Amino acid sequence: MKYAVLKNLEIIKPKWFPSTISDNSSNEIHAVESNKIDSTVVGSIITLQDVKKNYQTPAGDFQALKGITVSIDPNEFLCIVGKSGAGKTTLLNMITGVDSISSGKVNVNGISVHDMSEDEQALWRGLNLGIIYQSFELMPMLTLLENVMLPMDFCHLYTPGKSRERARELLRMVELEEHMNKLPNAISGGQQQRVAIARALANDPPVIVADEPTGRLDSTTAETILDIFEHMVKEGKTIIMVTHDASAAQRASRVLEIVDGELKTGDSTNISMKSIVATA
Amino acid sequence: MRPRWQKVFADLWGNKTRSLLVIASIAVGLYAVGIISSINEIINKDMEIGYTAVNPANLHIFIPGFTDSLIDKIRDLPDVAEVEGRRSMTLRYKNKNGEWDRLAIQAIPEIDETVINKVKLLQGSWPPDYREISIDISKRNDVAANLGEMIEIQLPSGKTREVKLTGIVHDQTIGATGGGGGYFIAPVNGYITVHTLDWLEQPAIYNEMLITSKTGKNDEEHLKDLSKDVNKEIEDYGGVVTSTVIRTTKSHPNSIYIDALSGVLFILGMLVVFLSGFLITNTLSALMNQQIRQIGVMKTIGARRMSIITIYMVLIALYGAIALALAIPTANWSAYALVNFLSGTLNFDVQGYRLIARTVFLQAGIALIVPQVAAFFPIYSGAKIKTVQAISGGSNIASDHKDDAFDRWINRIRGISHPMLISLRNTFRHKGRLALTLFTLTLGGAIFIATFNVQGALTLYIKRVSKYFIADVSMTMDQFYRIDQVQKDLKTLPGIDIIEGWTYAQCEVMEANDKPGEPVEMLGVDPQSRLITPILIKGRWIIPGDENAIVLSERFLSAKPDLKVGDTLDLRVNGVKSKWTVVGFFQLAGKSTGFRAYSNYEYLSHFIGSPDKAISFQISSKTPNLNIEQQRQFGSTIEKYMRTRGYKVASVNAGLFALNSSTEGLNILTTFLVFMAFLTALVGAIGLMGTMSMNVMDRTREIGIMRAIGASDRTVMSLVIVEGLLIGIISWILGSLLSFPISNALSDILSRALFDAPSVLSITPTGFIVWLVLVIILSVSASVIPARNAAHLTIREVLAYE
Ligand SMILES: Nc1ncnc2c1ncn2[C@@H]1O[C@H](COP(=O)(O)OP(=O)(O)O)[C@@H](O)[C@H]1O
Ligand SMILES: [Mg+2]
Repeated sequence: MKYAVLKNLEIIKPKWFPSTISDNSSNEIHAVESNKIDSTVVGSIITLQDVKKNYQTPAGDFQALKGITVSIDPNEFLCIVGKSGAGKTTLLNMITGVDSISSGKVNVNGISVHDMSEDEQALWRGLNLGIIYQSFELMPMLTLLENVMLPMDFCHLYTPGKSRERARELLRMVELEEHMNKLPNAISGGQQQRVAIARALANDPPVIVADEPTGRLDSTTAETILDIFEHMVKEGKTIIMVTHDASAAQRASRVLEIVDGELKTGDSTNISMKSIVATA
Repeated sequence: MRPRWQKVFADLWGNKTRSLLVIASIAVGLYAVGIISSINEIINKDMEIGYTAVNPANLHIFIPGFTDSLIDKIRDLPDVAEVEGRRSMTLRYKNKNGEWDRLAIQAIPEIDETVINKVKLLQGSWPPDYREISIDISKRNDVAANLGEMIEIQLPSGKTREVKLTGIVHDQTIGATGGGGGYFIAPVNGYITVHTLDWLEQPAIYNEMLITSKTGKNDEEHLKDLSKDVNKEIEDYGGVVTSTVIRTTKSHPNSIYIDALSGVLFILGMLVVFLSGFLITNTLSALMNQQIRQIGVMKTIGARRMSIITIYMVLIALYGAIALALAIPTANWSAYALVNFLSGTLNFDVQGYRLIARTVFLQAGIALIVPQVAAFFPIYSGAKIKTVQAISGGSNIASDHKDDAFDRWINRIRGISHPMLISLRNTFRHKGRLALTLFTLTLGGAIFIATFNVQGALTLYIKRVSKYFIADVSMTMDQFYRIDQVQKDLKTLPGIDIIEGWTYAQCEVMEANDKPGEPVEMLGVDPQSRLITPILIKGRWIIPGDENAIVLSERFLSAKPDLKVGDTLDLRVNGVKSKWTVVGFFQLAGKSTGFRAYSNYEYLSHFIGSPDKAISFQISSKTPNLNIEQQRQFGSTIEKYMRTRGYKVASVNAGLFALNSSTEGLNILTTFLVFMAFLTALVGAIGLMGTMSMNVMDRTREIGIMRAIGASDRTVMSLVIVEGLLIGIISWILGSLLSFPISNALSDILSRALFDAPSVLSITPTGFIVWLVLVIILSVSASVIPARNAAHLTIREVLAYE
């Protein structure tokens, strides 16, 4: 069964699917799955080409994204800023494929995201993207450990015993191993967000997508989250993060600003701190 | 266990209130379906099986006197399986009140080897020996004697004897000969051996022949042919047949009540299956609605559609299985409690406690399939929902909601308070859900109100039957007395208002072959009697000047469907063949009350050769509305007085006693319907609770937001309560309307089973009022509890709430 699923996937998406099921003998996370990022690949890991998104509203069509073209390199820590309603979440949804695209192309690691079926997308997402939300979105009925195990359960990447072991390691990495049998509402918001990060890393995806991950956290807690993000970049992950937080944006390797569904032109890495603070 | 199954169990145990609601909604429907289906099966099967087991007579032939030689002759007929002779008589015994009352005795030869109309020994010993008697359990409480004690019996000569009570038995054939009346108005039944006959001043010859058929026990036409052969044989032998009663082996004397119940249960059962289906659908779609966000998250971490569908199907299967495990034993137990009540009052034997396979299958089907079907759409659309919609909460997406005219109308309402307005808009926001909720509550309410209506109609009917028993006392004499003489004598007693003399003749319907068939009781009454107000189905009542006009009971309608008003009926009246004109049909207490006819006193008394005389006297007191004890008192004063004046009084009965015994079968149905009303109320109540609570739970997030923007707990509570009330009251209005056709269908079924006549719809306000009160109480309490819970969550908790 498991074999069939894997084999099937290999035929469709040989490129992003890990060629070997990781052997988990080492306790070091970075050592375990570093084979996934193919550093020999030249160029971008994610490309968006003239991405447009329209919403049907009672008042008529509303264009939330007006043709966005951008390339993201492997191992980039990209920050997206902009006013509320500018289209940041919509843009992330285009990358993750959770919402349909109106026109344009999104390519992640050689896969055209919007040409897959829903189910293909779901499995692809489970294996290649870790998504982190502002409101954490943990399963309220599951313990922290089970929450982290859930993506591995859906994607069949590890045996049950291995996935438990791996979930513990991830929780240890975010310093929550001793709480692993608690339910999400028994821990603080910052801790929940760390669990959400551990969950995002469960299948060791090359790309992490975060939508205002620190938006609900106080600044000290937010700092620890950003520390983890930086650590992940060091491990070779590509991170795309939407934020309102100036200090968060400071840690990015590149900052893009969206205004009314369009990328603000100019050298966005030099975007002034003032304008970021103003959007907060 | 894998995390996804962990989630299933966590959903089950983690949110206990919600799980309880879901399980309760499923279980209560299963419970109701189970009770109804089991009772229906048990009463239908057990009454028939139990009755067949006593080997009831197919032919019951009354012959004034015969001996074993005639029995041997009949036994040789080809289709006769068994024949027995018996002697039956009615004597008087002293009842527990010290009054002389009727005692129907059967003397049975070779009593320990009897094969037809077998009785079952319940207490003491069987068979009774010389000078001993066994009595039937049904009216056993009228007899003071315990086992081993003496019963005082009065013989025709006036002498008294004491017989020893040695056994209590169960006889399911009481009322089977159907002449005078059914099981309920039968006197105490006793069984003796033929050796005791002489001691009771009775001739040692038989007067009843019981016959069973070899090949056509359940074929009425076949039995009619057999009856012809037997009658011919008896006449060839020189015997005289006074009447013949034909009955198939399946037809228990009280089967009409079971037929009536069955019909009602069938309809209610169908409705309740629907009701529980809606209940389940409703609850599960609410459940799924609460899960949409989680579905969205699962999809972002790699769950495919099938994984999600499987998770929820397993969860729902678990809910169904738990509900089933609860419902099977409770429903079965309750069904048996009810069946025991019915078997005691309708004189049949329950075949022992067992699980009814059909019920269990039905329940299992509903528990395991209906929830899956009901949840399929919500699960499927939940799994299909765009991930982005799921994450944003599923419902607050501008693009999936279009305001229609109704919304615009609701939104235009002005001039009511702001919270009211929010409630109003909330109520109508999810129209699909609202429709489902309303439908469930409407159906539940309609069934509840309908059972009340039908029960009200029956009660009303019983009241009308009392118009046949207006007299406080009915006194039957051993011989005919001049009416004016009795009136003159009785008037000297104080407190007597009206005295009417009624005459009586024993008749038989003449069959096509010119042989006497079913026995008929014919009463001759004054057409202007103030002591009887008949309920006419067809035609008219007797009028002054009527000659050979008769009004027949409903039993004739079912036994002789061709008989119409204006037809001529051949009767043998006190042994004289004569022609009578049918002028009308009246209703008494149902077909089981037997063949009865009323005719003009003037004519009948001359016809039987006793003009100006009567055998039965109806007496009413000047004090109105006596209760049954007062009537008894009144009756025994009259009886004592009459005896001192030298009158031979056979029996004295209180009017209410006669009414109660003839309407007992209807009372049982009434009781039963009250139970059914409560059962549907229970289903409705739990359904209402579940739906309302789930609705409010759905709103937890919204309630938190309202509080966050400054709404007080009181405001939040009143919002929720008004919404609950609104739904409750709308469902009450719709349920009231829907109750009319359901009431009509139910009363029609009852009426056809009991009276062979379509019903007149009767509407009683009780059901409407009770349901309104229930709906108000339930919708308020079902909203308050979850709303309070929601109001007590901190804002952070609420916003994080799933
Ligand atoms: N489902 C939707 N239907 C209609 N309009 C939407 C929908 N989702 C977002 N929008 C609109 O699109 C614009 C961009 O939204 P979003 O990407 O959520 O902004 P943000 O930059 O704050 O994340 C906003 O004006 C928003 O109102
Ligand atoms: Mg956003």
